[in-house]
Amino acid sequence: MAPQPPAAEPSGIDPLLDRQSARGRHPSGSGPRTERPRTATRQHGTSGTARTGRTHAARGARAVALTASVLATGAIGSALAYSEGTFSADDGVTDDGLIESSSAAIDGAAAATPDQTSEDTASTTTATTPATTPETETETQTGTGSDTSSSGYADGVYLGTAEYTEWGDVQVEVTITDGRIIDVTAVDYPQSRRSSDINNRALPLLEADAIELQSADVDIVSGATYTSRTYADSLQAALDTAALAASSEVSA
Amino acid sequence: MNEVWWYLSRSSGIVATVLIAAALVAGLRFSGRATGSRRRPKWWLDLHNYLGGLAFAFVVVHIVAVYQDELSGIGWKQIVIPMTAEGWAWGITWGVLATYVFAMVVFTSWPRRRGSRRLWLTIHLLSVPAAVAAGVHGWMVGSSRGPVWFTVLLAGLVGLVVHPAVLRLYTAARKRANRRLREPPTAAWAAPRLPAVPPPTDAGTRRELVDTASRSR
Repeated sequence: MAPQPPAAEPSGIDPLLDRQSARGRHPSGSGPRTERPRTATRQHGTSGTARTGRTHAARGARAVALTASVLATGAIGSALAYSEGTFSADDGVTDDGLIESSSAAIDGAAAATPDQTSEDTASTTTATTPATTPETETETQTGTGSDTSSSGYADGVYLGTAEYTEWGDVQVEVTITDGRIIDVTAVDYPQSRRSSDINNRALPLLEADAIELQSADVDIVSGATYTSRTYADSLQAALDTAALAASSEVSA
Repeated sequence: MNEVWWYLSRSSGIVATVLIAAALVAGLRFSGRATGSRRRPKWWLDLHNYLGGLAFAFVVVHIVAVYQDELSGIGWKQIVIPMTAEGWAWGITWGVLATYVFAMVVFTSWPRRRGSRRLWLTIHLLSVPAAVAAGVHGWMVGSSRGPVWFTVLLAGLVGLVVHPAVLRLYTAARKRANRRLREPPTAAWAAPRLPAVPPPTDAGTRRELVDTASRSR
């Protein structure tokens, strides 16, 4: 049986010796480590800090840091929302149901659909089609118009329909050379800070996908579902026009 | 509701970045013996520990908010596996890697006294490159994609960290040089050997043994 350490009784001679004995370590610091007399303090049922005698040295700074962090999170979030106008519906639907034309940042081509009601989605699509058709025809006429490859598309630049989303319209323009899609450009897409962030990420992926697949069957980009769907619809409309032009050339 | 998560993710990310920088400054000042005379070193250590834990808590809030935002395109796969976020793969990857390192640092600091100090220190020092990775993550995809004020904030945080980092490196270099000077020029076997002192049993014998040892010198 191992010898028991000496009892931690105050000697009354050396306060340092007494304190070290009470902590369970031998005063020399090199002796065997003895068990701490914890039982007496555990019986009090006090909290961890009081039991171990530890206090946080930077208690005040801790409280300040926690409070400041929580407040800063709320303040920064609110400031961002306010400065970016998220809750002022800059490109969303206003109270009277009109799509705000504050999307003035949108390119001139976007002006094709400024004043359509949000409830009438079907009429939105129908209304935009005539607006884009003349331009599409013009672009078709300016194309080479002579080469129709096996893909069935006539060369030229074709503008798709403006497809409606809650956040704004999406419209693409496709360039076809030698019967192949060589470029797809989004001429119109939601431009608010949030939408812009999403679309700047999604549009290059969609464009690369369309060129690789040579069709409008693009994969939906996660986090940009609405943009992907409307992009595909607008691209399909442009490709339909190109196919129509090719078939009319063949028949002529 | 998506907008709330979106702005919470951005604001918590900004606050986490600031807290990471603050924890880094406190840790570097403590370990670089540059704590000044106004506050005790223990105060700086305690602050460093707390800020590190708080920063990690805000990183967790940031991740949860990004996940909850349906339009962010970030799911568990993108949060856990690097290079899986479409469109901003590298930007998100820096954040994922930094989070892993911060988690390792935090969770190895709690039971530190039970493990090897060298291993703990190695993991702990990884927090410096992790902080850099977090900054790159913020710069590439943060708030949102680098407006001027955010770039200025990041530059300011870098400036804050550089000074204590240089002090820390200077202290480490000086310590190494001092240790080299203190080493005896002769071989270890040639050093005079002191008589072994047995472990004392009580205060009285301790004093006697100390006297014996000093006489033998």
